[in-house]
Amino acid sequence: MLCKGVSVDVGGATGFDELYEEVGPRLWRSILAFAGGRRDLTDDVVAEAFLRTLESGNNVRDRRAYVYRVAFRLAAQELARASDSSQIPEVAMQDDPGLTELFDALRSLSPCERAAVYLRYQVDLPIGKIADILGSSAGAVRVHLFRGRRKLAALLGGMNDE
Amino acid sequence: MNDWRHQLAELDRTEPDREAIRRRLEEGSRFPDPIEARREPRIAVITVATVIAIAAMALLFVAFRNQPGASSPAPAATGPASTMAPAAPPCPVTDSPLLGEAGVSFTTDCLAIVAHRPTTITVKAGFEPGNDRLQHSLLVCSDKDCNEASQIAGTDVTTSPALVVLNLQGLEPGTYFFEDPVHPVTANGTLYVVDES
Repeated sequence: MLCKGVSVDVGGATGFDELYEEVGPRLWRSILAFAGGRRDLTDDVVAEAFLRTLESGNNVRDRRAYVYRVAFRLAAQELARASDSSQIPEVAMQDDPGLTELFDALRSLSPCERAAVYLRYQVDLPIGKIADILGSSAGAVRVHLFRGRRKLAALLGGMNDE
Repeated sequence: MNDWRHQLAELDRTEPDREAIRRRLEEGSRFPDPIEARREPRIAVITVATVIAIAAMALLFVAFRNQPGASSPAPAATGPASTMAPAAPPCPVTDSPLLGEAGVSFTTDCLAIVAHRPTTITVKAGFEPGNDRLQHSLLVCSDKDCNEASQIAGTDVTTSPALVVLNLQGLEPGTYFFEDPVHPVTANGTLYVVDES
């Protein structure tokens, strides 16, 4: 079975609205950065991560960490699948021309470099948390950050420093 | 200020479509069931492996019957050439290699260690006058490009003067590569992993 048709109650005090208020926009932007600006993929992945987190109910101790981890796992799978079938669009996000330069630059980074840079410098997460979300080690995250900063500084200007 | 950090912050101008996400959520999952997705490839792999094993046994049986003088089948192939280390690597085999890094270059581009034995590689980085306050790290990879998929072990990025210590689990014999990912063009080399004998 490729897709399962599960529907969940998305209302209620512990439902979608509360989780969305808690993590929604930040998580969505983190996945958007990770996906190099692919809004379609981002919407799908974030909705799916919310679905799985809500389905898990009280079995999840830290919903915020869980939904981030699930979203990044799903996004990585989808990017790998899109890469295999050469489905990555040339222009990923056409509804905000002001961000074209940024997304062009971000797409020159690997997905892990993009995610590490966004989570560190915009979401302000510590390196250990980023490693946990990306299923990586702190050392690897530092290397992703270093490489990501270097590439962005070369493309967009600024310093490659902490 | 119009640098990469400023532009990255501009990403926060984008807004998700909350109602679109809610609708997608109400429609249910469009993604493969994670349990099924893990199970299906595993069943396929087991099936293919079983068929290959039966075919190989049949071929060996036929070959053995057609060569009455043969006492044993021919030795199996020993693997692709690219993973084979030379019998005698071009540099001495050491138990705990010490690698110097002066400026942004290693002092050698060749290391050799024994297979299947945990080994510590130490980089003595930036102890010379004028070479301090540079960042260093060490990666060991199965591929010369040292892309993410090929990275076997790595250290944190450290500012010199510092000893960068990489603990490697026992590796299979073969040819590997090492680099400082901060200075990959100038600081890199080949790591030969050879059998003890």
